[in-house]
Parts: sequence; structure tokens; C-alpha cells
Amino acid sequence: MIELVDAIIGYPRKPVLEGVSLTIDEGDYAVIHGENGCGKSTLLKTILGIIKPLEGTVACSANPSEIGYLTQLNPLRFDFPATCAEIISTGLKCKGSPFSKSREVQEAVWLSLERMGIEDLENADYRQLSGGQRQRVLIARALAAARTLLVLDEPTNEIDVQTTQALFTLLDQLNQGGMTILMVSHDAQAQAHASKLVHLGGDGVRVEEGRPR
Amino acid sequence: MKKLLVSLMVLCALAGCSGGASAPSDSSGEVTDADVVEVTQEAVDTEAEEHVDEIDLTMMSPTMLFAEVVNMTRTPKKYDGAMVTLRGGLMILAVDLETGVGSYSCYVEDATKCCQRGIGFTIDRPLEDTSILVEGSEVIIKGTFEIYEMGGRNFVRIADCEIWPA
Amino acid sequence: MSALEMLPVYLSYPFVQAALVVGVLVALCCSLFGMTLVLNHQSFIGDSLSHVAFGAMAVSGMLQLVDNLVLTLVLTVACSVLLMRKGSTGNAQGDSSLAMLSVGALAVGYLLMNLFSNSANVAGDVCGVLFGSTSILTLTTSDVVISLVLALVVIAFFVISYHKIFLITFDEEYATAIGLPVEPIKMAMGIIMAVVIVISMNLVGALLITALVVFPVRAAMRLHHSYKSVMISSSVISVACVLVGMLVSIIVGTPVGSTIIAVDAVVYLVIAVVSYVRNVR
Repeated sequence: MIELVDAIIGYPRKPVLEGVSLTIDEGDYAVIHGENGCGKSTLLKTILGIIKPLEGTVACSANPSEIGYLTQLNPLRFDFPATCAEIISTGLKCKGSPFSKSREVQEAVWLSLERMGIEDLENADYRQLSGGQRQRVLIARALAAARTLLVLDEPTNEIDVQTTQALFTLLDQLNQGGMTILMVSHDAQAQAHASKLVHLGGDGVRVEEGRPR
Repeated sequence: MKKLLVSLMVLCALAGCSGGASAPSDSSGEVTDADVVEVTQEAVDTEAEEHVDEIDLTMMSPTMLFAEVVNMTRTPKKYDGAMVTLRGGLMILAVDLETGVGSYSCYVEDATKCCQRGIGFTIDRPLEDTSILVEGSEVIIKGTFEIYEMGGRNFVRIADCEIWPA
Repeated sequence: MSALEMLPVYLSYPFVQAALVVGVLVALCCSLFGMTLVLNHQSFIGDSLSHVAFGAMAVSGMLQLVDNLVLTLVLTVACSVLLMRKGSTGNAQGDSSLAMLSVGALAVGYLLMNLFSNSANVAGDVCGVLFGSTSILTLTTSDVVISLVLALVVIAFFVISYHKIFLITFDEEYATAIGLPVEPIKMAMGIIMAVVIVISMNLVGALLITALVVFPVRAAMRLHHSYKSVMISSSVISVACVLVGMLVSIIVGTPVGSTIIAVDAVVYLVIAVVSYVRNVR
């Protein structure tokens, strides 16, 4: 589903990772980890097409409209006036007619709210939420959109232990149902659940495959 | 890209706003083309949906008065022959100071008092009291709006006016 | 006849009717567009572009163009596209570039206007363009038609692209990841921004456009917490303030542009106080 061949990842005049060759197959549960500033999020964004690779090839065969993506919390958006339901559903509504009130979208939103245990936040003001609540809303957004590929950047940031546990249980269920999961996480629990571990370090990219879970 | 931005800035910064107000009289005392309001041939040819027979501009707020005077020069046919009453500042152009007969301009200001629009007018009959003809004073005039041609160009003015101090 | 009794007379004038229609549509455009500008913390890009539009209008005047709206639009759109391509203004360099462009266009334009103008009243012309004292009431027929068409195009764009604009404004990276054509939409937004600013200049003047864009949105954000409600509410506030402002200025004889903004400011203050009291309780 995802393939990188001899890719140089980074920004113009500022490469971050060089000689990256990596394959993520359908059904994989891959976790990328490494030290701060080693390029984990940059690699994720390059795979998703947000950043162009400086060299080499990066291919992702997943249909973009079937990808769910958890971005890192953006402090500039803490004053954004929107309900949690609007934030979760807007990505889904981009795909259809602007005037449609799709039952399918409403059901997907409600399901993702239930999965993250935030049904009571459906019409809550995003501006009034705590950091952990915002993170759960954004995870819910990713879950609602994901059909074949779920990409998560540091999903355990700001959320409590109980929610973290429930999240990993959910991710296991989704993966067993065929969802490909690609995650950046420093969390040891995340690494324990992974079938493929991608280490980013000073010696480059090292992939550990076929891990027992 | 920086060069393009600088070029754009220079281009954007060039020259002047299109004027519309009539210019003050020249020092010779003769009426010049700059002293009257010229209207385009297109404006003269534009047929109005309705015709105004009489209009009292002294009842209007400064905002509306200024806008109406501008629009009168845009659709002069609508007002051609209309009896117009106007309050504004007096500008003396070419006048027999003993009788008061001659050409004048009456200017109105918008609400900010920085934009002015003048309209020429004539007094065709001798005045009983010419002491009211003070440059810059506020006056009320009443006369007939007309379009006239001079030197192949079209102008508008209020003709055969009566005049009072405001 | 009292000033208020003159209102039906004023409303019978075609140029007043045209001004009210154009004013309402421009208010709607500004509120729709203002959401994006305010939420992206880009209010001063709009301000800078309005100064560029002032300079562009001066160029049109110098060239003695029959209709100065067209050249003003072209130059302002070009500048907006350049600014959008330059990227975010979140850094100090971008911020000072904007300041240079904004103040430079204003200052050099006025200077050369004084040197080369053929107008009898340069200060008056400048004042009118900067503060929109009566410009909305003296629109030519082509100005009205162009403004109406452009306003309807802007409104249609926002209605059709509502969800895409919401998503790109809230989370551009997410929008890219799920396959939205983010760069073309952002470019379209840049063009729309220039169009909205140019057609707004006749209503409130170049210096006051930012207020027309920002006040209704900020007021609505104090009242509501859903994006849809904020958008609808800011549109209602914007249209109401423009209508009230225009009618007051026509009746009382005040400058149109600053009267509209004064009404906007008063409404915002009232809503801010009400919101504060509501939160305290």
C-alpha cells in the first residue's frame, strides 16, 4: 500500500532523512518511532503527499478519500468556532454535494464519537475543550474518515491512560478487520501492538517486521 | 518574485485619481471650459426612464445632495428643463458686478467636506441687491437645468437663476 | 419636511436603490470571506490589499480609463495571488513584507498623485477613495453591473465550497491528506479576497475595509459556537449594519463608509457586553 524507494525526506535545502526505503503492506500495523526531531512526522506527511520528497519515490496506493489522518494539535486553531460534530463530519461532507445531509455521514460521526467515548461532546464548542478532549475529537475525525488506511501522529498526546488503553484495543479490532494502520508514537504500548516497527535514528531507517503481538 | 512585487508597487503607485469637480476660475476673469461642468455625449444621449420637472435639493442631506448633483451630470436628459433649487457655496466666474448678470458656479460638499462638486449657473436678469454676491458665501439658487453645447462639447448648467442668501 | 420624512423620497431614487442592493451583497461577501480571514489570522493581508487597490485606482485615473474598476481588479488580484504564493505570514519576515507593501503603495501612490494629477481637488479625491464618503451613491451603471456579478460569483463560490473552505481553514494538512485540491482552492480564495476588497472600496473606502470584514465575524463568534451559526449570524449582522449605516448616513448626512463602520463597532460592543454578562452568570 505504501512504498518508499531511496527517498530523501525533508524540506527545500533542509533534508531530514536520507536513503529511506520502506514498504507498508495492506493490513500492516506499523509504528514509526525515534528521537525528537528525527523526522517521524515529516516522513508521515511525505507519505500522505503533504510534503514532496526531495528525491526518490514515495507511493501510496490508498484512495485519499478513504484515509483517516490524525494531525498534531494546532494551537492556532484553539479559537476556531465549531462544534465537535462539525469538525468530525466536514472532511466526510467534502466528498459529496454541498447541500446533502447524508445519513451515512451522521452515522459515521456518531459511531466515531461513541468509539472515543465523547458522545456528550457532539455539540460542544471546540474552543472550550481541554487538550485531551480536543485530541479525542481529532482521533474521532480520523476514525470516521478511515476506510482502508488510518494514519495517526502521536495519538496518545494529552489523553489519559484509560482512553489510551481503549484506543489501542480499538486499533487492534480495526486492524484485525483489515484496516492498515500507520502510526508515529513514542509510546511503548503502541510499539508493543505493532506488527512492523520502523526505527528512525542516526544510522538511518531500520524496519523490524513480523513482530509477535 | 521580489522584482515583480517591486514593479507592481511602482505601477500601483503611479499618478492620479480621476477628477470630476469643476476647476476654479482662472485669473483672467473669462469663463473657461474648466469653469463649467462638461458631460459626455453618451450621458447626453442616454434616455431617462422618467423626467423630472422640478426638484428641490435644499431639502436633502449633504450626503444625498452631493450624490444627486453627481448623478444629475450622469443623466442630464432626466433633468433637462427642470426647475432646480440648490443650496451651496458661491463662486463668481464672469460677472457684471453692477448688475450681477453673468456666470457663476455653485459648489456642494459631501459629508466629509473634502470632496466638492460644482455646477455652473447664470443670472440673466439684473439683481436688485448685488451685495449678496460674496465669493464663498452660502446661497440658494433657483433656475432651469439645461444642457448646452459649446465648441462641439456638451455642458450643463442652471440657467436664468434667482438667488438668495442661505 | 423632516429628515426622516425624506426617506421615502430618497428610496425612490434609482441610484439609492442600486446602492442598497450592491451594499447588501458586498456586506454578504465580506462576512463570508471574513470568516476565513479572521480564522487564519490574516486580517492585515486584506488591509494591505486595500492599499494596493487604492494605488491601482490611482493608476486607472492617471490613464484616464473609462471604467477604473477593471484595472483595479486586475492589479489587486495579481498582488493577492503573489501574496498567497509567498505563503503564510506567520513569521516576522512575512509580516514586515506586508507592512512594506501596504504603506509603500499608499505613500508612493499619494505622492505621485500630487505630482501628476489633473484633478482640481486631489485631497478630496483621495479622501473619497480612502473613506468612501459617497462613492456607493455615485456608481456608474457598469460599476453596478460588475459589482453585482462579482458579488454573486463570490457568494456562489462560498456556498458551493462551504465544507472545503471550512476544512482547509481549520486543518490544511488534513485537507491535503484526504485528497482535496488545497492549492487551487487557496489560489481561488486569494482571487476572491482581491475581488471582495475591490468591490467593497466603493462602500466603505480603502482604509475601512478591514473593519467591514472583521467586526461582523468577531461579533458572531461571541454569540455562537458552531461554524454554521457563526457564518449565518455574521452575514445577518453585516447586512443589517450596512443597511442601517447607509440609511442613517443618507438621512442625517454623514459619510457612508465611516457611518457603516461606526454601526458595526457599536453592534460589536453591545454583543461583547451581552456575551460577557451571559458568561459571568
